[in-house]
Amino acid sequence: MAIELGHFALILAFAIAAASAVSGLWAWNRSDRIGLVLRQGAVLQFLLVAAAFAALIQAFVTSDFSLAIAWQHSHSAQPLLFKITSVWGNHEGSMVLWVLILVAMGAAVAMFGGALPDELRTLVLSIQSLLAAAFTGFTLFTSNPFARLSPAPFEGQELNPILQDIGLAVHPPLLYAGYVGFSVCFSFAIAALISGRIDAAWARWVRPWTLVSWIFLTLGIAMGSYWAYYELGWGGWWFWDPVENASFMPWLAGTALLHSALVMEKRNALKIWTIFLAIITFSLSLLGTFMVRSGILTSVHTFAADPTRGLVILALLAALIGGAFALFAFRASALRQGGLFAPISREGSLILNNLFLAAATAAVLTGTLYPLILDALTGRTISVGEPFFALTFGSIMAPLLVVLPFGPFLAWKRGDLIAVTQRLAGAAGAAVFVTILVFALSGASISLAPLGLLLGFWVGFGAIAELIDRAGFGRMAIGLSMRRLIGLPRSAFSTALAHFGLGVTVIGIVTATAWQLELVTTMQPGTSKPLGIYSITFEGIDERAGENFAAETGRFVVTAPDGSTRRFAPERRVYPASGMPTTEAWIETYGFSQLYLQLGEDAVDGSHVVRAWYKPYVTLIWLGPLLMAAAGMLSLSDRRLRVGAPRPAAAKAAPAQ
Amino acid sequence: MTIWLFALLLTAIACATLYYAGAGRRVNAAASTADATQEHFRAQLRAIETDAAMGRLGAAEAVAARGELAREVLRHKASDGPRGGTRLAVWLPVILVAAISLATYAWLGRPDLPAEPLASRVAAEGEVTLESAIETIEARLAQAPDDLRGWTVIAPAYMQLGRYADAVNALRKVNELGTPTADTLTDLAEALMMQQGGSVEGEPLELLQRSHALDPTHVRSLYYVAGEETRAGQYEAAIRDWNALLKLSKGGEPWVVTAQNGLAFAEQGLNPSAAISAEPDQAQIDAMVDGLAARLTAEGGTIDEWTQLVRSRLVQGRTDEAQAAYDAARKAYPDAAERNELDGVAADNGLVAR
Repeated sequence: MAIELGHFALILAFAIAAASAVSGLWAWNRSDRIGLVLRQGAVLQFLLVAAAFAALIQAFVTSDFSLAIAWQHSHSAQPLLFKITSVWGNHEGSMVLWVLILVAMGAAVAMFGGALPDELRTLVLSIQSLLAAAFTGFTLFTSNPFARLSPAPFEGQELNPILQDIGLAVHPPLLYAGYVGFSVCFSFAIAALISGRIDAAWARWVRPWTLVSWIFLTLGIAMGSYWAYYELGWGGWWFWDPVENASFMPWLAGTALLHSALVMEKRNALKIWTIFLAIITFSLSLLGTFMVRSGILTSVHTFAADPTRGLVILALLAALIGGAFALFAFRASALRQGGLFAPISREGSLILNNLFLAAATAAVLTGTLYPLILDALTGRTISVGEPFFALTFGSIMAPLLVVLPFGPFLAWKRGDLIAVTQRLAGAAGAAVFVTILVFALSGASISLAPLGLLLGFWVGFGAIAELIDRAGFGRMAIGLSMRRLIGLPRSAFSTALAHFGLGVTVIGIVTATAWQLELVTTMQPGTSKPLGIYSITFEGIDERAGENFAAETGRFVVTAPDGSTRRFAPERRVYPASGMPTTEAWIETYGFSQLYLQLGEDAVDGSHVVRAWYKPYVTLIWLGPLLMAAAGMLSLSDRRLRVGAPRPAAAKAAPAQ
Repeated sequence: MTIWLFALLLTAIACATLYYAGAGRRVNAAASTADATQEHFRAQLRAIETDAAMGRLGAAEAVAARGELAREVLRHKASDGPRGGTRLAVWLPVILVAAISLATYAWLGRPDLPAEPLASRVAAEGEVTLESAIETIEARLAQAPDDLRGWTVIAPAYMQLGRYADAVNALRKVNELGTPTADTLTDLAEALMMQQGGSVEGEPLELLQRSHALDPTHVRSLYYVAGEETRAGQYEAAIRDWNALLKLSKGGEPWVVTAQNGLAFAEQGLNPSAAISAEPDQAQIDAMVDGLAARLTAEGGTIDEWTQLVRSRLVQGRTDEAQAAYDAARKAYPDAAERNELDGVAADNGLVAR
């Protein structure tokens, strides 16, 4: 009963979304009533999809295997948390989660968008409803999560053991919130193109939505990277895997959008470019979602195995993305251009940032799609791996990092590059000094590492330098500078914090890659092996039974140079319901560095294969995104209106003293 | 069809709220738009003033910012939003919602299927077959191989299904994990015997003797030990054990007749007069077996007695009568699970199940 009610709720939500989209797009400038109907409809969609989702959770928790996806992806012996996360640990259920977040965004626009002009809000809600109708329809008609089995099988097949982890509870919801959040920016962009108007309220609304989505996406990607790092068991944190690229591309485009939306809000410029980026970003989100969801990635043949689903996906992508760009091509010229600015100015530097990010996105897109297309057309399989991305992406990002600290220093409308360079000399000096210091301490090696480290410190110190400069340290009394520092708007701190976070990530990537230590060996119980400055002692193996698995647990003791010891307990597990083995690495954090231990297969003579890594400063890789997300929240909390005051032309003309 | 009632109710509620949202009090759309825009410009002006007052903006910059804002205000024309307009904008979504939702559910829904959570599936006892129960226990044992209770429960099920190798394995676990008792040792011996096609030789006999040593009053092990002694011609020990066994009887147990027959057989074997031929008195044995057959045919008996009869007939070499006894036993005990031992004996000796 509950399952069928949930099914009907999802269908009703689909009906409301479809009806809202059709009548909204038809009547947005024909009736003053339609806006109220659409706002009500958006809230109803959210309530109904939430009810459908609750029905799915209920069926999974009670192990009701008359629900086909519960039978396929759950097992009565799974712990409660993994019964719940199994709901979105499969194609059908994850589509419902995707739709749930989509309609939640729509409901938020309906409920909190009171200050928006009616026409704009009606159009935005129409586009949101159109998206909701398209994806709910796709879910219901090609991959229905409410498909039933009768009679119900007694026991289910279990959730893939690799997914039986707290990560599944956190990572997909965060990532989807990021992906889907950009749908609101997309809807705003399409609404502007349809109505032909971008007014002040438009700009005020787009930036916070971009920011919220970007925060979620940042956290989602960082979380996914850390999950892959500790669960997959070979210590890597980024593989340039198409699935990872699928989430990284919207992040790059979203970062560009964030910066151009900033210009738009403050300076009323770059309007058309912002609209273009909003469309691009959400298109990449869609592409990412569906490259993962369609099964095209594991093999092109899965695509052919389910021709209905694959074709519907292609048609949806073509209609939404193609339609949006066609609309852009026809209508963009009707929009009024914003304010003008000189090439060397804050606006100019943000455009440069956008160009670099767009080029980086294009590089990743090429590397991701080229093998797929080649395989589909010629049947040849090639794999595009790290070397390609390191070369293209790296060579695009390096100059971006070089120019990054200049941006915040430049004045709006027209800036003075030479003066900025002088003011950044301190940061550059500090970066060079610390890099040399780090190398002197760690023993020099010939590689790209010093360059990378230099970039990381340069970006980090540049961010701090901006704060110091704005506060006027060194140019006036310390007390006055302190007061000016505290009085700086939160947006100044958030800019500095976000850029500093990027520097932190770069430093983490460089150190963890360049100075990682690896040990692959076999160990007899009772023996010790050194790894750098640490000593690893293997005591023995215990067997233990988990709730739905059996495990061999290794007992290891690691002695740090200061004599302190820590216990490590990496495991090899077998999940009997699916017969799948997994390895569970054990990670201990020393400062910012980590020691990573993985228990391998048994050898014939009773010894065990042990893999161990020492990863210096590896946590900085994920600390950076956390800082960036915190910066985003800080900026979000600053509801002050942003005024980007232009630098008056007269000031530049005045002779220097 | 309660689900359809709920579906209609939900649709009605959704349509009603949509309709009343649009048909109710009208908000002055144009005014609110103008208000929002004007409010935005005012806020922007206030922000410039604040920044200028706090020294974040220089005087010249503030003037430039104000100038830009003024140009923006001039450029902005308050748009005339639609007023009134068609009522169809309210009716259209309502009609679409009702039509799409009910039609789609009629197409995709399965209102006939009830929920079947795990609890209800377990409760439906008839649904649980021996095989599925064994699978569940096996899955549990694979994770917790030290679960003594699990092994104890699963062993008889294996015996019943004729999976003797699995039963042997399970019973070995039972004896390893817990303290072996006469019962558990005898169970293991029985399983091994079944695996060996009924022979007691080797490990089963050792186990039975251990069991007998543990508990001299344990009926099943005593029974097997006495039987084996009889077969091996250790008549003195056999007579002692058959007598001990008969003393334990409260009368009416299914094995009493066999024990009496065995005792008689052993005494025959020990009898010096019979020692000349080294063969038991065939006439006497025949008389005993015929008596058993007559009693079973007339009054019926336990499956063990039937098995004993079939065995005896086979020992006598009277295969036709063994087959007849087997047929009668099958008729008396139609459930194959009860006839494990009998069917084994029959199959080993070429009797036909018909």
